Amino acid sequence: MERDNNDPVLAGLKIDHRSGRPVYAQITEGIKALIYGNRLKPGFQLPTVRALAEALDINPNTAARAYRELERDGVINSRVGRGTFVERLDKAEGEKAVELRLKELELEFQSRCVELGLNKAQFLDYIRKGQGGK
Amino acid sequence: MNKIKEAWAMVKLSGRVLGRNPFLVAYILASGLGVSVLFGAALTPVALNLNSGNTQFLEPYANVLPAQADRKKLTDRIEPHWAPLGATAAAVYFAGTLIIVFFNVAFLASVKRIINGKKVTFKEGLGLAWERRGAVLQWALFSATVGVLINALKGYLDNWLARRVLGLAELGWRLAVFLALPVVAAEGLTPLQALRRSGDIFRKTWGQTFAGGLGIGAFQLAVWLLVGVVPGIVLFYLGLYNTGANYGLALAGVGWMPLSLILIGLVGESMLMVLRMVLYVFAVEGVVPEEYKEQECAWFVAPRA
Repeated sequence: MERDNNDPVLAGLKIDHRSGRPVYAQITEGIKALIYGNRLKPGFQLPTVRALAEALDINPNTAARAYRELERDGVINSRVGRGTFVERLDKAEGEKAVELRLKELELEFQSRCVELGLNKAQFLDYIRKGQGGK
Repeated sequence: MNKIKEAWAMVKLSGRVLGRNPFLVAYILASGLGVSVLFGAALTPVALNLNSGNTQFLEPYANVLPAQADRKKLTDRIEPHWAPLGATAAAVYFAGTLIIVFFNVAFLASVKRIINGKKVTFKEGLGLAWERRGAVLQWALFSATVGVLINALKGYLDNWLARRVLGLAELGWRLAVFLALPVVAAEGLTPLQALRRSGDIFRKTWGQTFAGGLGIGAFQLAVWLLVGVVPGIVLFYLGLYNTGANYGLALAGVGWMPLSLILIGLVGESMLMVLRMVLYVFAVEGVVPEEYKEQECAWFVAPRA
């Protein structure tokens, strides 16, 4: 199944299968970060487990576990026969999720730099030059 | 205890996946057939020559026979043949490894799709392996090289301690391969990256890996005793003692035991292959994978309004 780029969850969730962090935790943190960043508002209907699993190429049980964790934290609410909806998110929870996502990004950034044989300064220089070009 | 419970859940899942998708065994059969054809083709010229009484072509290799006294003379004759012989043997060995790796990757990639709730056919599985052809080729080359090195070292080492160390290294290599191939199938990484990833995965799943492997081994043994050995002994006994001298029945009893061992081994090997991908998914996603059951996830599957 192709990713639905109009769906803020499917388009916004970035999963790194090579990161040491379990995929279900990446999903819960990703959804929390999307809510914190106002990309998902209370009442928004999340994709089904199957749709999420297919879009991320993961086991449906993993997607279900992520939803269960979010529901336990009161972030989403599942209504039988209707679907799963965004409920609310504590500010502190949101900040924590964003911090964890940033940490993930930093690790990925470091590993890509190693892969390309670049140091941090060289990479940042490249970004600055790119922005200057624009 | 948790590890054993998780391992048991994964072994059960492996059995269910194989039971519902018996076509997976065909990958192992196809790989066995491919390697047999390859070695058959490589050995046919030798067999044909021997059959026609032509043993002249064997002369350069006669130093393997202890009866030959003039070793120096023979070595001189063998010398020019070493390079082509070695190159041919290496090419055949590599091609054999390539066949095995390709079908294993097809098997593992199919399993990943199945446990992710998708349907896959034998042909589609081959297509998935073909998509990973670069990684498959690299892994086959790497693994064939390591295999040759280990075997060569085995021949050279005569020190007890050195042989034990090599034995441990071989065990480590087998373990690394056990978890690296699912990485190649799922992520298409280069051999060194795949080995590094397999190390990470092993650190997370060592308990489940050992318990799961032992569980499948014990299952194989129990099934063989029940389905292979006991009926074999009964048939043998009936053939010889109970129905008069019915040697056919007795022979069938004797023949059934190794035949059933091969069949059960094939099923066990297939289950172990499924378990390899299940362990990979468990390590990466952090959840014991399950087959998708719509009713159990009813809360989360309602279509959007």
